[in-house]
Amino acid sequence: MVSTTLSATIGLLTLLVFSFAVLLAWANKRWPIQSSTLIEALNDALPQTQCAQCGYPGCRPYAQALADGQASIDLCPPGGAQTQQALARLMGVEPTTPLTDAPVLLAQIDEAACIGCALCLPACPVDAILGAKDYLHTVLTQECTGCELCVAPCPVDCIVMLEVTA
Amino acid sequence: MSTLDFLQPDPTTLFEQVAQAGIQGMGGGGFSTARKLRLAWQAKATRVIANAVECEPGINVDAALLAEHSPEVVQGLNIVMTAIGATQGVLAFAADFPKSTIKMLCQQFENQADREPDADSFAANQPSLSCTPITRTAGAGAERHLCQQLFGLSLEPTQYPIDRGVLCLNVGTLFAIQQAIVLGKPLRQRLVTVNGDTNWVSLGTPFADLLTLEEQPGAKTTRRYREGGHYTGKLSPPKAVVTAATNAVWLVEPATQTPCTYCSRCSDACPEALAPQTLHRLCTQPQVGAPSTQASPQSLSESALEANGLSRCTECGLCNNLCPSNIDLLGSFQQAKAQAREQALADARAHRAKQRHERHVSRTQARAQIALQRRESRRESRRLKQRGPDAWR
Repeated sequence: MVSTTLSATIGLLTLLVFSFAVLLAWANKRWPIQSSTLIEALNDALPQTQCAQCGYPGCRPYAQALADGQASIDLCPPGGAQTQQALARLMGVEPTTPLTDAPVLLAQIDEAACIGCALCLPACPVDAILGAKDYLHTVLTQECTGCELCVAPCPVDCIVMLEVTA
Repeated sequence: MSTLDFLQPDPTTLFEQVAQAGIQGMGGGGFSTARKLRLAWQAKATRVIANAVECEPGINVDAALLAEHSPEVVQGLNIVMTAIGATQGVLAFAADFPKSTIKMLCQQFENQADREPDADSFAANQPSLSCTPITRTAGAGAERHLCQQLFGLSLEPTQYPIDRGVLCLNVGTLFAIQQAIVLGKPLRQRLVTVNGDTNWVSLGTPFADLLTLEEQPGAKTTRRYREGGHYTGKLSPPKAVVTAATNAVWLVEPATQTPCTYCSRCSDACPEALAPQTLHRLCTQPQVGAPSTQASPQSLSESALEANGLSRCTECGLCNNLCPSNIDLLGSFQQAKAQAREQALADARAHRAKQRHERHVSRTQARAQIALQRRESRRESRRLKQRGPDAWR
């Protein structure tokens, strides 16, 4: 009698385990884990300066590389410690390199020196420089993220980065 | 002396004069009076309230002004009503003003009502002037409460009295308007209750100088001042000065802050039914109990503060005044609100930068695509040319 009950129990449990394994395997196929949500969350945690200081062309590519496990979380200087912490939480790792909060910068064009070459226009990742060839350029301060990408292309070095205080 | 002698044919000129005289709301809000008048004129407000309901105990500014200068105030009320085309003017005053003042006010208004209209425009729409005593309770002098009590208008939370055709001005403001229009005097001084005594004080006087007479010279740096009433007033920075909106200044004994005892006096009293002690704890220790799934400690404490209704806090300061541990609850709320505002701005900026970058990338790619196609088609045509005109056969 005892052996019958025992074998029945073992049989039932084995059946249950097997059926759950099949169910889980099927669910894993049917609804795969989408890494796009993680990428979006990482992208939202980044400061969106699009400065490419991380070595990737913008914040989203960096988020992509993070999600793929190709990049470390301490590559974003404009985000500083706060962004690093946010990324660490999302990725489930501990921050290693201490980062300090960077000052907020703003590009300014010395209008007397600008020759209207339009080389800085395509360099700006957020289209914050207004101008056209042979016309004076100016920076839209509301849109400028302070990424400094416009400084290098300028042939007359008329773009300076100003530190924003309070 | 007729009121209309001082009036310009065009009300906007009068508004300009009021703006030139630098007149601000003197009840405590400090809103630009010229703007308020212009809004009321555009909204065709029909009723004007002269507000003398000082509901905070200990402040005697409106009572002192009416005792000395009620004819000027009434003239100011007339000027405003004629300028914006209002037909009903009510002077609301606190019911516990000195008996002599109330008696004088009643006489004043009887005279005004009996008087023959002194110009054609007055005959066209006979303005009625009256005065009403209002029982002094907490918050009775707020414009919304006056609209409710005088005219039975209950305003929606998003509405202002002007939306319902009511213009509410402090009697001090009306006096300043009268002085500016009739005598051409800009607003340079106001009545201020300083530690219980009400006197004329020049605008811009540092609080420290108001109270020097009673104090030791050395104590000046450590003293703190409270601007406004005992309930809704705020602790002022040490270098604060008298502005048009300063109705009272008090010297505050420095209090030592002790830990919260959860006595719940603040949450019992909060008019918005918030829990100030919980909010304060969230404001000061943001990381406590933070689950690790959240993106950042910053956003966690903000969402928790939002869930506890920080944005609904009207900064009335009741909690601060009731706290037996002398905790600066209001100060921490104001700081947290400022932080939340900054964070929201930064978030909005980042969101915009993200969108602009996405557009930038898609545009750059589209251009590269077009350039590539053009190159291909050129190459193709060159190849066809080299093969000769009959190549297509």
